[in-house]
Amino acid sequence: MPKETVIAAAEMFKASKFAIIYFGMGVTQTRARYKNGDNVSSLVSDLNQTNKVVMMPMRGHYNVTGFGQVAAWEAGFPMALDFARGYAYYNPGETGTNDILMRKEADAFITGAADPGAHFPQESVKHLFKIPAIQVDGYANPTTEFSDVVIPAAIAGVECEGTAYRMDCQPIRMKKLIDTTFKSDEEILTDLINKVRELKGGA
Amino acid sequence: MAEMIIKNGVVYDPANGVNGEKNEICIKDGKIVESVGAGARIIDAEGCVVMPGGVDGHTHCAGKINVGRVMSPHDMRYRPIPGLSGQEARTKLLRPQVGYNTPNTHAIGYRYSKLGYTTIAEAAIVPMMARHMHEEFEAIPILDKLGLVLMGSNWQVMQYIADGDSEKLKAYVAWLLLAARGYGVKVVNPGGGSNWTWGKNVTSIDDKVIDFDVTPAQILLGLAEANESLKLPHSIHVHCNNLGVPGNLPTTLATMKLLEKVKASRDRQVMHLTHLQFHSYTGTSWMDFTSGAADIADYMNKHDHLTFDMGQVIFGPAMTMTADGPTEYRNARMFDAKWSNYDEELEDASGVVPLSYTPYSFAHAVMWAIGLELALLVKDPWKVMFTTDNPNGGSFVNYPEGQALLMSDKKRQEVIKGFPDMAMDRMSLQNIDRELDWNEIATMTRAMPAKMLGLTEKGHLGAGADGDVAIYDIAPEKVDPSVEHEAVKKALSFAKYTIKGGEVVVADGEVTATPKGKVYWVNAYEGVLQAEKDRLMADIKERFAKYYSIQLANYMVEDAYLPRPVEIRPEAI
Repeated sequence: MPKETVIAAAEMFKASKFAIIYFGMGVTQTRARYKNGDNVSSLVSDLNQTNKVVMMPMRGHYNVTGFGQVAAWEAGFPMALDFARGYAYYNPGETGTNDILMRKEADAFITGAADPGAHFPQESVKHLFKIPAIQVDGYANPTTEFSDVVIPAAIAGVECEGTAYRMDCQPIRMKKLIDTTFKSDEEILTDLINKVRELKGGA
Repeated sequence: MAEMIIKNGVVYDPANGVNGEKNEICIKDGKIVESVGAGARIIDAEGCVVMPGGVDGHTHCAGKINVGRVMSPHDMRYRPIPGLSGQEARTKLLRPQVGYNTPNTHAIGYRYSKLGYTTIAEAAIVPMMARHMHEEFEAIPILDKLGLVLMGSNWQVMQYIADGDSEKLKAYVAWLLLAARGYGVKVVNPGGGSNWTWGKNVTSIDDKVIDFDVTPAQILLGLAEANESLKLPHSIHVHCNNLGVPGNLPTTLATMKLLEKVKASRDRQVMHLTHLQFHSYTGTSWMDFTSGAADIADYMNKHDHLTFDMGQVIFGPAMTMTADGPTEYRNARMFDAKWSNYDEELEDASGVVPLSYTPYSFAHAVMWAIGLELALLVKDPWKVMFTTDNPNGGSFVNYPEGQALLMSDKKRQEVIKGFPDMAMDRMSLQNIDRELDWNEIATMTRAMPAKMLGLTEKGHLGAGADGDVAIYDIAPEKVDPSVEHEAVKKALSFAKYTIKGGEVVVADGEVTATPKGKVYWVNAYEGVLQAEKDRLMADIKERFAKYYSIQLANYMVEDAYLPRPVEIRPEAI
C-alpha cells in the first residue's frame, strides 16, 4: 500500500467527528488472522486519543451474531464449543468446526442455518461427504448435496417467531406472518435431543 | 405447593424487628404464613442462622456481562473458590458451569443460590437492548430478577429537561420502563454517556452536555422529580460523575447535596448512590489520592435522604462493565487492557475492560479499604447495601469474604499488615474497630436492599412475604465472627438450605432444584394521562423516524420475553 494512501486515511480519521471501521473476513481470515484484528483495535484505541473512532465486525449469515450471544451466555464462549468434558471447552484452532473436520475427527455432522457446503474449505467439505450429515434448513443449498438427512425447517420471521441479533448485537423480534406445517429449528432440535436421550438413556 | 416449617433456627429478620430469636418460619404455597398444619415438611435449623433470602440490588448479571464473556475466555477457567467458580461438568440436574467474574447464566443462578441469595437486580440496561437482558434473565435459573433502565444520557430525557417540560419527561420515563419492561431509573455518569459519542466526558455536575442545554445536575434533578412524581417503588439509582477519578469527592458530595431539595414520594431514599467506593477519592492524581470515606460517611450520618452500596474491591481478577463509556476507555489506556465499547444511538454508552486488583498496589489497597470504611463509618445499616458492584470490584461469589470482613476487625488488620507503607496514611480502616453483627449483615444484604428497591414481598420473613429463606450452618451463640473469619465465610458461601418460593433449591451447599424465577417490572405508564401520552407519542414517532436504526414497532419488549412477569403498579403499593 502506498504511503500516500495511509496518510490520506489518517487525515480522514483526524477530520472526522465519529468514525467507524467495519471489518470483515478479509481481516480475520487472511494470513495472521486475529493478529490483523489486533492491529485494527490498537489503531482504534490510539485514534481515540484525539477523535471518537470505533470498530465493528461485518457479520454474515443472518443471525450468526445471535448464535454467538446465546452460546456465550449459555456455555461461556461464543463459538468453537467442545462439550466432551461435560462443560464447554474452547480453543479456536483446535475446537473450531473446521479444525475438527480438517483433522477428520468428526464421525457425524449436523448443521442448521448455515451453508458449510458453499463456505467451508474444500478439505473440510471432502470429509463431510464421507460422514453421515444432517441438515436443518428452510432451503436447499450446496450443503444439501452431501447431507444424508434433510429436515426442512420453518423460516423464522416468516413462518415462526424468534429473536435475531443484528451485527451490532441489537436483538430484533422475528414475527410470524403465515402458518406452516414445518417445525421451527427449536422444535426440531428439541425433538432430536429427546430422541437421543431416549435411545441413550441419558439425563 | 406443600407446607413447610423451619424450626429451631436463630432468626434475623431486621424488617420485622427480629434480632436473633428462636422463631419458627412457616411457608405455604410459596409465601410466608403465620402457621401451617401438622403435615408440613419440617426443616430443622438447629445450630443455624436463618435469614430472608438475599437481595442483590446492584449486579451486572445480564446484558453487558455477555460482552465480558466474549472478551475473556480465560475467565472461564479461573477457579479461586472451589464450588463457586471455574469449570464444572453437567449433572442430571445441572447445566455445565464455567467462569468466575463472567460465569455462564446457569452458573450465576446456581452460585447466587448457594450463597443464599434469591433476588438480583441487573444494574444497567439501555432500553434498546432490554430484550437481550430478558433473554439472559430467562436463562438464569432459580432467582427472581429485575432490571434498571439507563436514562441519564438519553436524548429525549435531556431535551425535555432543557425544555422544562416535566409532564412530558414523566410520561417518557414511564414509557421507557414499559418499553424495556424495566423496574427503575438508572443514571450513569449523567450527560457523560452522551458526550462520549464525541469522545468527550463531563467533569462536574455543572458541565454542559454537548448539543443539549443541560447539566448533569439538571438531569439528576429532573429524573429524580419525575421518579417521585410517578411514585416509583425505587428511587433514582445513581452512578455519579467522575467515577474512579482521584479528587472526585467534591463531585460526589455535590450530587448528594443536590438531592436534598427533592422530596421522597414513599418511605425510602430519594437517591441510591451505587458503588460509592469508586466515588470517594480525594487528591489530584493517583500519587496524592486518599480515602474520602470519612467525609462521605459524615454527610450520610447527618442526612436521611440517601442510601448507597459499597462497591467493595476484592483482590484478584475482576471485569469492569459500565455504561460509563469514557471511564472504560480511560481504564483500558491506564492498564493497557482489552477494551470493548458501545455507543447506543440516542440512549447511552458503555464499555467493558478486564482488570485485576492487587494488595501490593497502594491504590488498590486503599480502594479495598474505602469500601469497608464506608460501610463501617455510616452508623445506620439501613443506609448501606453490601455489594462488590459485581463483577466490577470482584465477583459476587466473594460476598461472604466481604461480609465476614465487616464482622472481624482482627481479620481486617491481618490483611492490612500486608499493604505497602504508601497505603497506610491514605486510609483510616486500620483505626476502625467496629464489627457488624448478624442483624446488621442481614440488614445490608436483605432488609435494606428490598426496602431501597420497594420490593414489599422480599427481604423479610413476615406473613405475606415470598417464601425465600437462607439458612446458614453456623450457631451465633457458639461462633464469634470477630475471631472465626473462615467459619463465617464458609457458612455464608454454602448455605445449609436455600428456600426459594417455598421450595428447597440448595441443601448442604449443593443445588437440589432449579425452578424458574419471576421478573419484576413497573408499569407506571398506565397512570399517565391520555393527553400526555398523545403529546409524547408524537415526539417518539418523530425520533424513531429521524434517528433510531430500528422501527418503533420493533422497540417495545414483547410479552414473550417475560414468561413469569410480576407487574407492579406504583399506585397499588
